[in-house]
Parts: sequence; structure tokens; C-alpha cells
Amino acid sequence: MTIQIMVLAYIFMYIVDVDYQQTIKAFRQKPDPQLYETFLQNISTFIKNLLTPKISNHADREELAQEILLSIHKSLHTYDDSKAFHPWFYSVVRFKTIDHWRAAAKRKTQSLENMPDLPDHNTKSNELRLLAADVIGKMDQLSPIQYKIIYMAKVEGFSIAEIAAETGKKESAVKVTIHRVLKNIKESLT
Amino acid sequence: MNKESKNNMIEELAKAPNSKKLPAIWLRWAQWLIISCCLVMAGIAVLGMKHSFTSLLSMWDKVIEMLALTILTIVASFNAFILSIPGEETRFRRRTIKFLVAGIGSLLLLEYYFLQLSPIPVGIHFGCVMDILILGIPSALLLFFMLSKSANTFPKWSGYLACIASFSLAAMGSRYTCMDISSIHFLVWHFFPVVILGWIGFGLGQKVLKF
Repeated sequence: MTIQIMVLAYIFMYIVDVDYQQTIKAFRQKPDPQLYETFLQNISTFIKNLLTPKISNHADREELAQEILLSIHKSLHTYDDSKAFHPWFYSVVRFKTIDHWRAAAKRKTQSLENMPDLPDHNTKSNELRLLAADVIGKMDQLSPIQYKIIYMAKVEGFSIAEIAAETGKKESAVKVTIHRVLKNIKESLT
Repeated sequence: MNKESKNNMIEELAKAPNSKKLPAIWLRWAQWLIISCCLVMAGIAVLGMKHSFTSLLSMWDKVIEMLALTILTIVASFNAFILSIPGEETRFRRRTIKFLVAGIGSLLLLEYYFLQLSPIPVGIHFGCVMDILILGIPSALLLFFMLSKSANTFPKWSGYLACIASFSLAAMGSRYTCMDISSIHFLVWHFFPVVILGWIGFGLGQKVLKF
């Protein structure tokens, strides 16, 4: 079954190859812009299908496809129409693809070199530590009931109803207490 | 590139279709060889011939040297034209070139070792290098120009082969413009510069022959 598929693929490639060969022979004998345009359209689809498995980034793929199409147009005079089209075509595609990968690798190296220095991790964590100490200091100044309400709400994650049941206060009072305490802490830190 | 810009680009390219065809490889090669031989002979006439044409050819060791250099010129230039056509790279014989370059160097060394009866001081002869440059640069320029009109998928190797071919031909010509016919002198002041210029051709090819 695999061999049959391969044979069919080779026959199909041969037919397509002969088709391109004859198209190029035809517009060399009589330059026809319409025929040339059709040829370029077919080739661009072919290029896109070739590049899809090789290059994942859509923008890069489109840019490379455009470059290859331009190279094919510029170097078409080097193709010998008495020979198969595909070796010539694949050679151009391979050359341009390798060139593209080399340029992409070079760009990546340069972009890493130009990257700004990362912020100092130690400075950041020291700032956070000081801030945490301030918050803890403010928490120590709260009354026992306020401390319990804030601790149950923000550290232990109890709901308003559960806190109200535990402390014996109304739910609205619990909400107001939480809001006032957080506002005071925030104002004292800024 | 989206579909619209792609279609626009194709429309622009279709207005000026590339319907020309480059002549066959062997024809372009023959054109270069004939013109280069004429350029080298003109160069010899300008620099002045120190030996007659037949005097060097009467020595069998010199005949072998000239034959080896001729083969190197022919093989290197033909391979340069082969590499200028995409899809023909499979015909390029890298090993043959390396073998020829190494072989000629070894041949000259062996010639010196077996045929020279006494050691000859090599001396400093930058004039010989200048002769090779004067004889070789016009044909190198012509070859680079002809190769730049096609599509070189191995630009570095094309540049290397172009320089090796042109300056080997110049080295053959410089045999007639140089008083010293010893093989060690030829190896150091005629053949080594050709090898070095070949390596310079790698860099030149990358810059000039990329399509």
C-alpha cells in the first residue's frame, strides 16, 4: 500500500513538473504576462505548502515565502527548461530557507545581548519584607475583635456569615469592620 | 504578507516576466576560458617574457607542473559555473578540487626533494606575487561578473573556485615572467599565493555572489 502511494506521488510530481516545464517553455517562446501570473500564483501556493511544516511562525513564513517567490522570479533565467523543474526549484527554496534560519539565529543572539539587565531580586524582596513588617505592625495596633475578624477573613478565608457567627456580630458590622481596618492600614502605609 | 499584498506583488512581477534563458554551462565556461587566456597572454606581453615558450616545455618536470595547473584551472572554473545553477550542485566535485590543490603542492615538494641537487635559497620575491595579481585579477573580475549574473546557491565555494581558477591560470603565466624556474621557488612564491587567494575568495563569494 505504501509503495502504491509512493508511486502515485511520483507520477503526480512528474505530471506537475512537466506542467511547470511546459509553462516556462511557453512564456519563453512568447512572453505572456497572464500566463506568468498564473505560474507565480501556483508556485506561491506550492511554496506556502512546503514551508508550513518547516516554519511555525505565520509572519516569518509569509515573509520567507515572499522572499522565495522574488528569488524565483529573479533567477528563473538560470533554469534549463530541458531538465526537470523540481531540482532547480527545491534548490532555491532550500538555499533561502537556510539563509532565513541563519538570520533568525543571528537576530535571537543579538536580541539577547541587547536585553536590559533584570531587576535585582534581592532589592525587591527586601522591599516586600519591609512592607510586610509595616502591615504586621499596624495589625498589632488593632483591637482583639478587629484582629480576629481581619485574620479570619483574609488569612483563614472564612466567609462573612461564618465570621459573624463566630464573633457574634451582625454580617453588616463585620463587613464595615473589614472595610474600615483595611482603609486605615492602606492610608497609614502611603 | 497577507493575500492582498501577495497578489499585488505577483501582479507587479508579472508586468515584467523573466523570460530570458542563460546559455549552457559549457558555453559560458568556454567563453571565460578563451577570454582569460587572451588576458593572461596580454599580461605576459606587458610584464615581459623571460623564457621562450618552448624552453620550459622541454623540461618534463615543468611540463607536468603546467599540466597539473591547467587541469586545476579547468576543473575549478567548470565547477564554479556548475555551482552557479541551482539544482546542479550534485555535480560539484569538492574532493577533486581539494585533491588537485594538495596534489600540486605535494608534486612541487617532491620535485624539489628528488630533482634539486643542492638546496636553493628561496629568498623574498613579492614581485612574483604582484605578477600573479596583475595577470589574475582581470580574469577573476570577469569570472565573478559572469557568476553574479546567475544564482549561486553556494556563494562561498563559488568565490573560492573562481579565485583558484583565475589565479592558477595566472600562476601558469607567471612561469614565463619569472627568472627563477626552481620548483621550490614556484611552490612558495607562485603556488602558495594562489591557495591564499582562493581562501580570500570564500569571503568575496559570500559578499558578491549571494543572490
